[in-house]
Amino acid sequence: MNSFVLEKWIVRRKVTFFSVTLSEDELSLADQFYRFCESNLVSQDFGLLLKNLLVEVGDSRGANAHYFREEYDLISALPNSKLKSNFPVRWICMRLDYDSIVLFDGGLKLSKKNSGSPDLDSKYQRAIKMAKAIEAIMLDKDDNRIEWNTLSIVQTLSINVPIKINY
Amino acid sequence: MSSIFEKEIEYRLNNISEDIKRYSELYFDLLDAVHQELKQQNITQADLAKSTGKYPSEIHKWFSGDHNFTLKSIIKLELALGCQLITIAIKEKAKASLEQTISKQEKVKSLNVEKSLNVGSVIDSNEVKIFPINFINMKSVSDNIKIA
Repeated sequence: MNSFVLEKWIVRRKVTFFSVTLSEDELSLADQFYRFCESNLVSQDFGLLLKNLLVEVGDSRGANAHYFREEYDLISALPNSKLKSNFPVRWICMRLDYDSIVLFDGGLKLSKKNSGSPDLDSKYQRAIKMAKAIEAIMLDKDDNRIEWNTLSIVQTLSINVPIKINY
Repeated sequence: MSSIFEKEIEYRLNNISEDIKRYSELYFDLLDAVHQELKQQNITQADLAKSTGKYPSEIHKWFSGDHNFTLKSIIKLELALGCQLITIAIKEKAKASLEQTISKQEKVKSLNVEKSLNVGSVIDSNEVKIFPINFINMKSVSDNIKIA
């Protein structure tokens, strides 16, 4: 059975970003995707992506649902607000609440449908499995690792011990 | 453990160019403004597609980051929602400069009137070039005026 660890990635003023690290990896998926963007995107586009995610959402506005495009059940991608006509990056995420987002990895969308971008599509499928596992563990009130708190997920997830989850 | 790139990310964020920062802010402002209107008026994206004569998929693109809003698309949205989504602010400095130019123009007019009434030879008519009055060439009018 595969497993991953859920832990804090970056804490901003309004939003805590979490990410997951697969058992066989050293870097979290968000860190892997950061490295991917750094080498594959032009500086301007990458700057915009980070500004949108970490400053506009993370610091200023919070994780409002209308900023996210729902791709699959539980899984979204943040709008890119592209500068050019060709800015096909998708950063896969799971919006937990106004103040919490789990970032997975992402990739380049090469065609209209996700299925036309096999690399991105496989990452979506994997993210869906992990998102379901995260949701299940949050909803499981008997599980003492995470307790679902409708008032603020951050309070309950702001533990410093990474959580190992099977999926 | 937090991101191993945290410091690098912070550095990048601190060095984003001003135009990108402004673009991002405006984009999110627009998303918020449209979302608020849709919510207040209880309009769905499907309704919006009907009223703008667009395909629902196109409207979906507008709100999912796959659309680079043009003035035309913003105006279409404004008309469909019956509200103003953006306003253009005229900066005080630009306003003051415009008023100053107009005041110079009026001064020249008044001097010309004085001359025609033989009040005094204040201005050399050869040095005054007359242009049609509009905002485009006002600067050139004032540049060519020499007051004796």
